[in-house]
Amino acid sequence: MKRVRTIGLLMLLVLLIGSALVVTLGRSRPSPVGFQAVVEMALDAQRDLDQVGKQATRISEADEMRLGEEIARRARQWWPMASSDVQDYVREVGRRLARHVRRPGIRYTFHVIDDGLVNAFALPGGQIFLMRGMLQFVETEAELAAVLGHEIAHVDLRHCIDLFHYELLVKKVAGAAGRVFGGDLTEFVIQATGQIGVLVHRILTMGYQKQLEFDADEQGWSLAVAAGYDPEAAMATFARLDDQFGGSASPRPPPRNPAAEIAGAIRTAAGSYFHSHPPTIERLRHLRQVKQANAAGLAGQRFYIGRWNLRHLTPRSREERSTSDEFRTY
Amino acid sequence: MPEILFGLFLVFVVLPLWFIIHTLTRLSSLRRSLEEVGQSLGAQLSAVRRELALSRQRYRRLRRRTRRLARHLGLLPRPEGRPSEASPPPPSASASRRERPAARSARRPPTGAPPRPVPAARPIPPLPPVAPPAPSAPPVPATAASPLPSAPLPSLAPEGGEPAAAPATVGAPEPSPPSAPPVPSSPAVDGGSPLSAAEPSPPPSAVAAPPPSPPPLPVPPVPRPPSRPRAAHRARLDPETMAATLENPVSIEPLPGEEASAAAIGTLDGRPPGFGRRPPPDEPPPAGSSWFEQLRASLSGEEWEAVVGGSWLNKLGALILVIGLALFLNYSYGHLGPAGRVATGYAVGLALLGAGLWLERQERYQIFTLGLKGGGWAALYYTSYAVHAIDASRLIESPALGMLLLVGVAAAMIAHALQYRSEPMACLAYFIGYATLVISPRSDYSLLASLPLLASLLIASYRREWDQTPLLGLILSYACYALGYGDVFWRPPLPGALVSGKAILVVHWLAFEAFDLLEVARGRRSTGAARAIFPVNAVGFIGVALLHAPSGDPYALPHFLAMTGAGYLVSTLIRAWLRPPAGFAPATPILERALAGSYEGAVSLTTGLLAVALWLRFTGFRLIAGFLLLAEMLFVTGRQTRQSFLRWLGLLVYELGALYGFHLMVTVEAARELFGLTMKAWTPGLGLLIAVGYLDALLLPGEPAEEFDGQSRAGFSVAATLLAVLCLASNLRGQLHGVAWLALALILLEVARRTTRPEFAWQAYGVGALAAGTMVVQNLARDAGPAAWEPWVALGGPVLLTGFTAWRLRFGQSGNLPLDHVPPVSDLSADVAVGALLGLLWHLLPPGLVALGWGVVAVVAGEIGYGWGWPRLRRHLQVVLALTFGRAVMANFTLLGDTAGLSHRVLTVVPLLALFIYEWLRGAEEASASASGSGDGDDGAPLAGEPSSASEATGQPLPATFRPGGMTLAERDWQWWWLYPPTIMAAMLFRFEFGRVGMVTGWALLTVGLVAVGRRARLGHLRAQSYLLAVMTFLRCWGTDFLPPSALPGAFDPNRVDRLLAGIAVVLAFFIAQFQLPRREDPADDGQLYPFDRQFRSAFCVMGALILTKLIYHEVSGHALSIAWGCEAALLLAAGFALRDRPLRLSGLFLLFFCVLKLLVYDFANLEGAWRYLSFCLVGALVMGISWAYSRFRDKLREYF
Repeated sequence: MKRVRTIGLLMLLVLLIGSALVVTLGRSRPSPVGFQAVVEMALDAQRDLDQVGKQATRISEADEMRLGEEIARRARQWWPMASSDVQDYVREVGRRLARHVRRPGIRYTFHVIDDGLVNAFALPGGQIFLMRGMLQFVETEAELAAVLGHEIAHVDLRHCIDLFHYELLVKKVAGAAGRVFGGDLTEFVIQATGQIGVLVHRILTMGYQKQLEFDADEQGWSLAVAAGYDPEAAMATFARLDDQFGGSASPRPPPRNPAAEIAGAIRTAAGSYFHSHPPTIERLRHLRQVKQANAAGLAGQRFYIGRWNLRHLTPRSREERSTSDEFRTY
Repeated sequence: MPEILFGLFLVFVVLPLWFIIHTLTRLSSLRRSLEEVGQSLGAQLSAVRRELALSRQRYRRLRRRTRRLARHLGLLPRPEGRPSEASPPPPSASASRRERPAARSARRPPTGAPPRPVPAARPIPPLPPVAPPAPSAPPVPATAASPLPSAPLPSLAPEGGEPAAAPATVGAPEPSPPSAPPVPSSPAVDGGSPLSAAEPSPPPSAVAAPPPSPPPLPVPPVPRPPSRPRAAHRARLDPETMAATLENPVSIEPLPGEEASAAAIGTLDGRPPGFGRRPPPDEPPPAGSSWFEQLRASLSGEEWEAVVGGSWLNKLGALILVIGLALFLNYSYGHLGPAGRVATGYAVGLALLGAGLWLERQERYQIFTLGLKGGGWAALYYTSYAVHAIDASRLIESPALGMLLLVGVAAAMIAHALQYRSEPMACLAYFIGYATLVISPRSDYSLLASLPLLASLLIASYRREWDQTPLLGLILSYACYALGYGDVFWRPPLPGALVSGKAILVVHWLAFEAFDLLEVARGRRSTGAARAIFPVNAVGFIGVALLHAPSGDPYALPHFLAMTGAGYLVSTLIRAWLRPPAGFAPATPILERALAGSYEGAVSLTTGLLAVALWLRFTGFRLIAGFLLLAEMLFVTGRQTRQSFLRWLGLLVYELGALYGFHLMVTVEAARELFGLTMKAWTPGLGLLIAVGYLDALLLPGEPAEEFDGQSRAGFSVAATLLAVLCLASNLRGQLHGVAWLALALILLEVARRTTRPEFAWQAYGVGALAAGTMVVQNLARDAGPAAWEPWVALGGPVLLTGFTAWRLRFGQSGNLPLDHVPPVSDLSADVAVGALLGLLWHLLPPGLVALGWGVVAVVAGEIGYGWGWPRLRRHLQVVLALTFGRAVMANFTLLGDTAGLSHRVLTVVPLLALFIYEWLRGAEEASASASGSGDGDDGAPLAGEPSSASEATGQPLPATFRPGGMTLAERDWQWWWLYPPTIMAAMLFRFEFGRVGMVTGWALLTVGLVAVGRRARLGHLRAQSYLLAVMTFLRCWGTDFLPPSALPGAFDPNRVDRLLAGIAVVLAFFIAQFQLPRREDPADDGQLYPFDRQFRSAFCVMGALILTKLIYHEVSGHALSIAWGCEAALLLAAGFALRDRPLRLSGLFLLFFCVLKLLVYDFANLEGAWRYLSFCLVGALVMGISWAYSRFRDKLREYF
């Protein structure tokens, strides 16, 4: 027994030291040190539990689209809309992407707001809004497809409707209770209580909003690639966003003492909980990992870039340029 | 130049003085030894003499009886002319012994000079017998306390011409004749000391034939303040004191009275009495001798009003008169020339004096005449002074003649005052004399005039044993000098000046110091006033000198203080010779000894003066060197002469140097280069100070220590340690403070280990704790320096130092360290070593490899802890494992990079998993061994083959927590905790290696593995982990449907096969896990979590069925879903039948019912075409088939139920 133990000990030491040597000899990249792993594990579990409730009380696509149309109508009244040729161009590109969604029952509608902000957002039920500034920011149709794919993914992955999920549920329950028991007071009490619950739920689930962005980036990239657009377009867009709008100005130098390391880890973990979007550089890194994970599927395929199409606001479905600079082959 | 002078002073003055001190102290020791031998011989000689006296008495008694018998028988004729045959019986031996001094004094041939009055006046109290009293000498009754005159009575002289051995002795059986009551001494002889306050003084005629004595002065006895001897006599005559004395016959120490008597007749060794002899131990002042009581005593027997009006007002008037006379003589009065003024002064003085002498014959004016006589003498003195000194009355131009006249008047005044033996009178006279000096114009002559006044005062005080007079003179002298002549001290004497002011002040100081030394020599130091002479003289001399210290010359004051210190060094030597320390009882407080005239006060003053001189004279390194030189001289002298007080004084000077060192540290920022090293400018000086401090602490004797030596050792070493700590801190970077202080702490600990100096151990603990705290702050909470070697030194050094210390204390010799210190010190050293090693690895290794490095540390600590039975190392294993786990969670799961296709996450986490598993197995093995008795468990018995511990070296038992041994019960109870980190790490590795969705396969497989191992190894904790993991896996599968965000169900889904395989793997894993769990209760199981086992057997089945159902929903969505679900239900039922598993069958049944429900509710309305009837037909056939199966195997099913 002692001999076995001695052999086991030696093997363990060899494993520990050998692994360290192998890692030292390999290709390593700067890695964060902190509580990200623990936080992600906890948020995963929270999200799993949240999904159980949401799947049990799922809102129908018709209700979702009705809600989205109502909000979109108000938005259109609030913001000025761009010209129709721009609207048409964006709509054509978007529809090409929406063919590959998981929920084909959702009818997607695309709007271009006449505003210089570089931004885009999605509403439940397939209402996608794009700012004119974003349209001017992207350089190719493939990049536009990546942006639109990201917003479509938010709808397709139920991120938008999940925000309103329990609010709608509370409204339904309150209305049903009001009808059954009669009186506005009952409805008001149930609705007020429910709204408090919704608020608490929103605070609790705030932590994994960043993870939803990663998921939307990932599926948006898949939608664009599935529509035949250049897989590099999304990365190029994020890289340019990072260049122009910062977000990851200069990476922090690594801590030079253990206490600083722990303090930084705590600071990062606490601060990141309330961030709705991850840093652009992390999104870029994540997209690269997704592309690397799907490298086998991309191999040998030819993807469209569409620089000319965007410049002339002519969708690829209407005219596809055959020049070599409009395609990228893997 | 001044430095050279000071150096010469040190070399040619201080060093020779030190040598003289040393030599004299050695001579003093030798003399002490000789004295002891002499005393011993004297005691033996006394015993022989006593025996001879007894024999002689027996012989006389026998002869008397023989003669009486012969007369009775008629053999001898009766003597004629004898009043009685009965002669006084011989005195007892004790009485004879008691009366021996008196007899000696009677034997002494009369000389021309009168006998010394003091010893003759002192009554001799009865000595308690040394041996038990003979029957003929019963205990002395209280009445026998009456002392006898020391002069022999001729009428009581023994026959046969023998020396007076038996005067009217105390305790003699014969009654004293009525005419000879207890006889007091003549007041004229003994200074008016009555026997008792209650006894009236008998008339002089009552004393039969007094011995030759000085003729009584024609002055009546003047009232005296209650002197100490009188009070002491009263106390000794107290009946209670007498009784206590008689009850304690062993107490034979000579009393002061006897001492005085002995002094009067000389000593056996022929030396002058009181000089060079060991003085008697000091007596406490008599009870009730406060100032108020003395005042009351002085007023007793007198009407206070008479005293105030007759004495005090009289003296006051005389004082005012003399002052007026002085002013008169000083004033240039136009009507009188100098001769007239002088004549007036002499006339007034003589008139006052004459009146006093004439009136003192009448008893009622006794008090009144005091003022007259004192004022008369003062007037005469001042007039004589003015004859030369004051311009307005100058008749004598020659200073020498003027001085002679003054000396003559002073001598006459002193002689007159001495005749009265009245201290108040003398005080008044001297006060007036000093007052005249103050008010007179300042000149060399007036300076000189103070000297005869001083000499007369001191001589008179010494001869009359006055206490208050010298003190008053001391105060008056320095006050007079301060008021009138203070500034001349520092002024160089003018050309042609008779004397310098400095010399006069020095003469004053020397005179009083000499007086004090003479008092010490004769042992009169027990009263308060006499004790104050030494300190008041020092304060007066130095204070007066400092009053007008020049500010322009920076060297004048230091040199003055140094010279004064040298003077007191001489005084120290003389005091050490006169009153050697051995003459004091060992427990005598040092202040008491110093006030009693021992050398301690003088040497303290010497030290203080020299230290201040150094402080004023030097700065920087020279000052430190000066302090060190002085401290070491004291220390070495104290060491050679075995005087702990001198060593303690050396410590004080050393502490001054240390304080100055701290001052330098704070104020001096300059740096210098020495031997190629850049350091603070003060570092060499402080280094010397530190080295000397430690050396002195080591040279002092260890425990048990003499008085002061414990403090001295602690003082030297603590100061040196503080200096060393601060010196290191000032010269090193923050990161290196810890290692430097740790090295210092270990050196101190080694000293404590090797010597009997516990203070070194405590300092080592303090510095070690400081070092550990600093290491934590500087190396773990502050950025490392730019140099790559710094972590190696700052953290690697402590690892080696503390590791070696822990090892040595644990397995080596604990030396002189207290045994209860060894375990905590060893364990804390090990803590520091392990902590520093972890910190070092953090600094040296890349972030991803730190956990691996810590893992290796854990393995090594664990092996030492298990192998050699070191519980602290086993605890380190636990702590380091926890830290490793935390570090891995923080750094290794987000690690980026790969080597040969293997991610660094896997490469670093998998060895850690192996580490945790190994350590758990190792712990389980040790726990098993401990529980089975091959280890010691809790009893502390050593395991076989373990190295020897500290207890073997010392032979004492160690605390239970320090004994080598196996795992304790608590360790065994918490061993299960280490089953969780591997599972957590494996689950996290799957999560970050395969993503949020893809990891479910890994989790499912991990679940199966945990269930299997937990079941076979009967580890409930593993099974509990598997249940938790299964629930999490199910939730993840349910929420994500095996679909990563990038996966699209249609055109772009390159990983679809993987997803399907993952789903199937999860489902299979759940079903396999189900069958790993027991169907029924297993009594052989360990019982932990058993209810969950049974419930989770069903839960696994349900979860697997649900996941499979949902997977089919996503993959077969559309028209064929009902058929697919029906097939799934049939499969579940078939498997349930085949494997005789009810949960499977029930799952199939439920799914089948759900499928039928879907057909009826949804498919019937929504499906179209062939799928519609195909679904109904297939599902219907399945339901029928299942029903047939239930019917066919009903009997067997009952067995299952």
